[in-house]
Amino acid sequence: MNIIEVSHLVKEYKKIKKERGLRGAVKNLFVQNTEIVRAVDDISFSIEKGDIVGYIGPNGAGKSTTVKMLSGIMRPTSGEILIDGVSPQRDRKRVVRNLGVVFGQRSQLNWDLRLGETFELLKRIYQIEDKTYTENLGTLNEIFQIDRFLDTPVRQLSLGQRMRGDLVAAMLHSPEVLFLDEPTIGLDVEAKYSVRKFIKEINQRGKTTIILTTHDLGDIQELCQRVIIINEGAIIEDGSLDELIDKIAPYRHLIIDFYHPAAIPHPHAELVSVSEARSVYRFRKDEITAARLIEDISHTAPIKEVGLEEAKIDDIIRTVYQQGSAGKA
Amino acid sequence: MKSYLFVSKIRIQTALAYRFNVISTILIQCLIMYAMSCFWAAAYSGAETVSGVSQRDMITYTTISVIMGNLLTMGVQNRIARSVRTGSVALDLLKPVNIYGIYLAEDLGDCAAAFFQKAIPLLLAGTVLFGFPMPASAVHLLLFLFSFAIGYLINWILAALLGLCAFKTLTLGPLVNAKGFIMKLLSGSIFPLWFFPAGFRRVLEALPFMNIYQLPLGIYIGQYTMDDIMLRTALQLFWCAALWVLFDVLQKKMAAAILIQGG
Repeated sequence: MNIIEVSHLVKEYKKIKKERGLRGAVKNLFVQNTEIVRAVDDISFSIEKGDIVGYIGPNGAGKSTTVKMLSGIMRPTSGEILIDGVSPQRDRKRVVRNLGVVFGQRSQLNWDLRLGETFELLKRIYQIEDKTYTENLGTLNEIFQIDRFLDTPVRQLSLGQRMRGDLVAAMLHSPEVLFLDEPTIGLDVEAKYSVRKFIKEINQRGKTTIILTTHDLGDIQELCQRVIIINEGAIIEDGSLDELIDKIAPYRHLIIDFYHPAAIPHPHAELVSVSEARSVYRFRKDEITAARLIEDISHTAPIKEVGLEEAKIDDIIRTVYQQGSAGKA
Repeated sequence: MKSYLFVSKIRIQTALAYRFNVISTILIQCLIMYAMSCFWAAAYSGAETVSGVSQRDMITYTTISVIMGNLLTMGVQNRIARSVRTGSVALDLLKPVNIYGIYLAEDLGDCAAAFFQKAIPLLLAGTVLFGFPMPASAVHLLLFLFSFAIGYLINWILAALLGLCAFKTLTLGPLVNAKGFIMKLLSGSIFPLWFFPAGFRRVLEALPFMNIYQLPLGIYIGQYTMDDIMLRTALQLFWCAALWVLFDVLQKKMAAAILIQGG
């Protein structure tokens, strides 16, 4: 069942072109040159219940704009969105009742209050029953151990603690859909790890559907079954991460150290470099396995050490981004 | 409803944490109250009544006006402007509540805090300085309270209307100060309308501003006859409703045009 349906979504906005210098500033007071920018350009996708989808793209690609339209806080110029069958533009309150949103760069916690008090407020806003509230807070605490700083004023929390607070705040009313906009931004390794663990757990426990926008590809690798890549307002890739890797970088590299200098060719692998006793082979995953390759070569010369290099996810994504912009230009 | 009440409660709690602000406000307001009483004493210079109002009534008018000023502080315009400029309006819109209901609840919470922190101390200070500012009668006091409540709403809607501009202009800048100044002058908070020339007064009476200060204060000191009070209160209610409709229409229009700032 598709919980999110997006069809032909477009968002245009007017951008004022400012002219330079004092003359320009004076001129701008009287005449404003506006141009229409398409931040989101005819996007369609659907997401199944219980999926974790990575929604990624370079800065300014239109990710946040999409998330803002999905959550009903910005109206699309055209196109339709349905969240669990309801349009957030037509019935914002009903949609957001079933929605949790976390902006990594923005906190919904009240600066002046204890963390627990913000939760109390949310309990009333979402009209959560006492029993459900206690249960949910208990479960979330189990994953996240927030009770240590529940009574600390929010302004005294560290970024990692604040992020945990924000994630718990977004999940208190057990929403079916969760939008996470860069939830690991600025976090240290430990905090990042626990945020990822949290995302995995709530996805598994409550079948929460999660859309994740991030620039941290480690997040994607660890969490997402599917990635949607967007650039300049349009979707350029949509599929599983493995598919994407196979498509963009089907090659792997095998590094072999022999006991003696050797250069042994293989019909299914290209020998890309040879230096002294070290050889590097490039091969396609679908043509031959690494094990087979090692076995074949070891028949000819004794092998001391092997290493296998996968294409780096960062490089792959960068390639995709570049292809996307090149295709448009 | 519970959520709006809780928002007010949080605001009261927060306000109670800022004590320096309270003490300085009270001292400054006492000074203003005293200066105004000196001004009226000089203006009356022994005259029994001016425009049918005694000097004693005028001092009551001023004292209550200063107290009202502290209760009628509106945060909504800056709240909207700040939320729009920083983009945090997104967070407000993500809640299944009416955002303007939340903003009103915040202002009412501030008002309640100001009642205890500022209104009561100022009333005591006024009593010490000039004697207790007596209302014309118990009935007049009740009518005053009603009129004040409607005036509060009118004032709030006017502030919220100004706040809506921020959705288009992103900042309000000097508009807030300009509005505050115009309101002070035209609402009768400093000078009652009956001191203005007849022509100008008629213009001011046709505007909504006098319903915020002049009408409740005039009722308080017994300046209006009962018939007059009924008529003017009806007019006040009309203004409140008309402004509300205007606000609702504009607010719906703005909702369609909202652009959230920041990535």
